[in-house]
Amino acid sequence: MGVGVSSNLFDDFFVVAWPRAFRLASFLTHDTEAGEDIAQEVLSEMSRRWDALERPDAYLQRAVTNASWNWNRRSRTVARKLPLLGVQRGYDFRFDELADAIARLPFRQRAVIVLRYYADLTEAEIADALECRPGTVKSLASRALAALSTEVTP
Amino acid sequence: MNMLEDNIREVLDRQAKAMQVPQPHRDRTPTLILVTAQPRPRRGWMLATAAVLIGVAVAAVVLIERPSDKPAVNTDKPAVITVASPDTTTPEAPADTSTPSTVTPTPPTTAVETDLAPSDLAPNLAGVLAAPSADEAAQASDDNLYNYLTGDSAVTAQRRFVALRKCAHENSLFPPCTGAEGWKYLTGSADSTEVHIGLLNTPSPLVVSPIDDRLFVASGSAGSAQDPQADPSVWLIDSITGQRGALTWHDEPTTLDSPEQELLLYPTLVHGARSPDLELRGFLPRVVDRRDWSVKPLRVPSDASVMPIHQPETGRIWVVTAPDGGVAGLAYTDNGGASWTRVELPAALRPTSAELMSQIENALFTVAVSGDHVAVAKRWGPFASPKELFVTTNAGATWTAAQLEATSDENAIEVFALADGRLVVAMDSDAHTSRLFVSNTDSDWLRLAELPLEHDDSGGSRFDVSQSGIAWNYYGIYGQSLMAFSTDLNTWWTIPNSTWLFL
Repeated sequence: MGVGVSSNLFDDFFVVAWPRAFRLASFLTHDTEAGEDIAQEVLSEMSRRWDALERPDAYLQRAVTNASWNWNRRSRTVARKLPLLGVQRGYDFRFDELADAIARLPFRQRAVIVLRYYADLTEAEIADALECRPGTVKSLASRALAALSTEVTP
Repeated sequence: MNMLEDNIREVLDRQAKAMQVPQPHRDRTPTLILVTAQPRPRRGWMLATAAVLIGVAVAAVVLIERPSDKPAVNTDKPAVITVASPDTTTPEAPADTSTPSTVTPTPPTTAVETDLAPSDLAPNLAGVLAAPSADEAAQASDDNLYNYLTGDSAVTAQRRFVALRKCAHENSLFPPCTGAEGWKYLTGSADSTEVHIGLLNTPSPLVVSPIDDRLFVASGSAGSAQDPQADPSVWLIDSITGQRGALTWHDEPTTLDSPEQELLLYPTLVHGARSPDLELRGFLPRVVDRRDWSVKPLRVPSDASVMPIHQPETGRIWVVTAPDGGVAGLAYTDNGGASWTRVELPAALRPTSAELMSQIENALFTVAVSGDHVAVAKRWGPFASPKELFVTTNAGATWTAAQLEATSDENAIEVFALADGRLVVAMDSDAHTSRLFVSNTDSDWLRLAELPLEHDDSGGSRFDVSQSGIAWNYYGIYGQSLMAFSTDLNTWWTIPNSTWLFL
């Protein structure tokens, strides 16, 4: 694969992947600025390794998840609720409550919820992204949904 | 459950649509985001935590009781020096051969009214802090440290100094201090009336290091994604004089160390799988005296993948190396980076190619050095199973696997160094517990403590480990915090999670 061809392919990938990576990282970190930085870092790294990447989509999800987890552990500032919830017109507080509950989930449970219900990944794809067994995904999803159903007022 | 799942989809969809996707910066040089600071053993005993608390209070009282005698605030643009990047990451020449740059910080000559009200700075400990026992107080002396953390403020104390960073804005629910504007700092000392406050304009955490009788505070901004060129400075602040100097630098400082009269400032993370165009930069600022800071680069191997770790007993500096296509290992230098000796890691610690490829922004290993003991563990990923921890006491000639009571929930590990060859291992689990183990040998590990999180969130935890004390801070996404600390590693004091430090 020639350099020019590879570069063009990455450009095409970048256009689609940038907003996806930004949103996924923002969900996982609850910080849009961190989400932007993580998306930038991951895609910058992917551009360097592009020729060696066999499954860019899977790599992107895995790398963004890993980077977001690192950010959560590393961060010395406390993650905050996404500001957009406070400014959206006509917002339903029922959803605000649910968004808060999702934000309070432990990272691994939150990651499964976001990858499943936002990124629409299958269990196998989530397991691949999270480098775990499908059974672990099921267990994490079950615990997350149980926690959310308990916390959210019907 | 279906309705719940539908609601989850809708919530996430609404949030995703409401996010304004920023324009990417395709030509931006990637920022080397930093790994968790690696605490290092401190020289001397540590000040009792109670004394440090008093230090915080004294600093606040000074501000409260002397409103008409506010400390001088230096709002002048500090002197800036530009530190040239090393030409290469290959350690071809000893660091001493680099021509040092110097800076003379601008003295704080102008007293300027600040909009930081004294009441804003008063610590308000709403919870009950257990007083240290007589034994604990007797043990502690000179060098204790702890770290408070809330959503918008952070204060760090070492010895008799305190330093804090505060978001200057009022709205606590949606704090606007997310860029490089609006952050303030305060430094002070418990036994001095000198307290310095000023506008730092950086969102970065403060890192502090005591040298002699003064505290150096470093903070900086690596430039945001929106404006990569914004304020790429690391600030060094002398807490006694308030003098500031800025080093032009494109990475944030992670950690400071102060062996003898030197101030080691490490800006680096390099992740495991390196690319040729990524450059690891290490700088070694040497404090000649309070008004003349000379800086020289510390050259490290081009495949170094974690910030250097200083071994104070010998002056040896360690790094983890992760060559592309090669086997990760360790390297150390005894001559300031002029040459490096490579050490192989046990086979169980060698990362797979998938791990190397997927580690973005992350160090693959956590490493601690104390005395002759060097401990290395593969940093546990969010979804990985617990991995092994190995210790060597002969610079990597042989390794011993540590036997820890790990559970399947453990998903993170950090290794810290105490004095005299003691090592501490901290493990976080997904079940909201963290456990500490300590050892002063290469094989016997004592389970030290297990502290449960009292709140069900995922903020994380932070450890500050020094020679004889551990401060352990759990924090949640809404600012809850539970602190536990010990100076004798037997008795633990805690501040309940209802405790907030309003700064």
